[in-house]
Amino acid sequence: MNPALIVLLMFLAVVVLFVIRTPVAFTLGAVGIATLYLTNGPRFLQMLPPSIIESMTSIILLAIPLFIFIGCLLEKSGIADEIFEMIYRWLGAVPGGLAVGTVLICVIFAAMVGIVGAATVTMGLIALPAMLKRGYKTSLAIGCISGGGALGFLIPPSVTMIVYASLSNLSIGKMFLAGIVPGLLLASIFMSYILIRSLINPSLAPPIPVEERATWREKWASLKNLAMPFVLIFSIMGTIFSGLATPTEAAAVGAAVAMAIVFVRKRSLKEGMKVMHIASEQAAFLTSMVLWIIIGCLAFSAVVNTLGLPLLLKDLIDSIGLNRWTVLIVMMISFFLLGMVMDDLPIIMITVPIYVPLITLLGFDPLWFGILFIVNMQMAYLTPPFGFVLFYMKGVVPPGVTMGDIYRSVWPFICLQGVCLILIMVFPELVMWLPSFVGM
Amino acid sequence: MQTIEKTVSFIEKMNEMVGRSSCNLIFVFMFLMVYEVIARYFFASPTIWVHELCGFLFAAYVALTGGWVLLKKGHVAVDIIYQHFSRRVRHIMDIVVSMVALFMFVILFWQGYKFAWHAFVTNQHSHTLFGPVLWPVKAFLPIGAVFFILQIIADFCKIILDFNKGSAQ
Repeated sequence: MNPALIVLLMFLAVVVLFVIRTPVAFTLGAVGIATLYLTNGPRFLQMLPPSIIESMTSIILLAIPLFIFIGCLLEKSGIADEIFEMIYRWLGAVPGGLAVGTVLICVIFAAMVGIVGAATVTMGLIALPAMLKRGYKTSLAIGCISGGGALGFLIPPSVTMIVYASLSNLSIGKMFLAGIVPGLLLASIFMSYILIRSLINPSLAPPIPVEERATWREKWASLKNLAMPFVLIFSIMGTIFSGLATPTEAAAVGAAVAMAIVFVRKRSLKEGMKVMHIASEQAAFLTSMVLWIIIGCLAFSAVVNTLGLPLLLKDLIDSIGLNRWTVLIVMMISFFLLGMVMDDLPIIMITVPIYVPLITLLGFDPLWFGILFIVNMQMAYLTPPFGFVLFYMKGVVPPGVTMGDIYRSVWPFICLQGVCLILIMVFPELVMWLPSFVGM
Repeated sequence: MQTIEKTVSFIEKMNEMVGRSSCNLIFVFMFLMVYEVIARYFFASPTIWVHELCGFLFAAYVALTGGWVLLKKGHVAVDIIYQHFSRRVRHIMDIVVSMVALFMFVILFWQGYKFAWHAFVTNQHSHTLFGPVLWPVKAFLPIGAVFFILQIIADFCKIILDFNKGSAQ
């Protein structure tokens, strides 16, 4: 049978199974196994157990539960309240200051935590009510939390990056380094946008009244709230980038530090143990979900590899005479469309086995493509009609705000992410500079 | 009917217990990894066993929690169109999903069992200095598949029971 036809049938099967709500892991696994059996024969099924066991014992993937564990601990530690208090004292007097500060806190959170949910959830509970109380426009408040929360994908550590890097055989350390400059760039784009809009029209985000402003003494005193986050960031990032430890070891050190932070802040062994218990369950739950998707994907990508699909596509592209940039842009558009209906993990699993080999054949850098991919996943996190952040926001905003209002408030931030995407495409140095500099 | 309900509740209790107790492995990973970092950088004596042992325990962590996550409906799915179908159609879809999942895990059990059995009879050891026997870690694939298969059967029974209740009304 024609390989192209087989692939087409596979994707058809995937779509049908998705529609009847088959979990992603089972869809990819079952379609992969069935195709492998039908096209190559039962003997080829023997390929699966060795690669599955390799993923299940992968020290790199072991970083995932540890980073999730850190995220859950910090979400419940109350550390975000302290940082927000500091931001409030320092930036409250500036128009749009709280929104800018929220983005800043999201950056700090993203640098401590590997999952994106944590920053969005905590900021939704702390920053959103505070901003609305000070008369900030709802759309700006929702937008900055959603956009800022999505920064967690790009700023290391990031579980999405670990999954991408392990599937496409890239170094996690390099990928983490590559995300730093684009992440900070995007954060500054967000902050300048908020600042410019609120300076032009202060009624959008009024400065807090003079009598509520903090004195300089209070301002300086509040700086100590940054101590614990910086210890944690240093213990994770410092150990990775200094070459002291692998990302997984760094995650373990970070988890130990995060546990200490929780016990220090809760000041009670019982409370602390309760948080530990919830966080350990959540870490196992999410890790199991991610790992079984990866296992299902192994069967799927085994078929794609035995069929030689990337090479076939390359030949097709050459024979039509398509420009390689056209191919790249088509891929970006496909990410955007998939992002409207899916989360980051299903998109990684379906596209990486095909796109990454193809992109390498076309002469693009897979690391650079990885960062483009991650920026796309940030957009997927926000794009209506489906997205975790949209439904979560609906849960925390005041009753009067409709789903339509939430959709409208995230669009400016999606456009800003698009600007960042184009900047990275035009200036690949933004991604490549830091990894080459450190030379890992 | 009652035996079915009892079996379902037994399977679910077991998956819950196995899954929840495996969660605590994260503390073991953390302890071992931190120990390794300290041993290597403060005492210049890296271990030969921490990474490999953590890898083996990670296989257990993933295998033993799979069925529990399925029980809690935690395996992410794309449910945008599903909710618009009628109850009856949804039941049929759920049955198809159970079949698809059963197919995948029966194959994984069969292949994983052969793989682990081969390692057992040939007494394979890892090619590292530590050199542990390999069959226990390889056995985690079929073991994990068993927990999945049991939970899939339990879910299937629940769908059928629910379906019957629906048609009786």
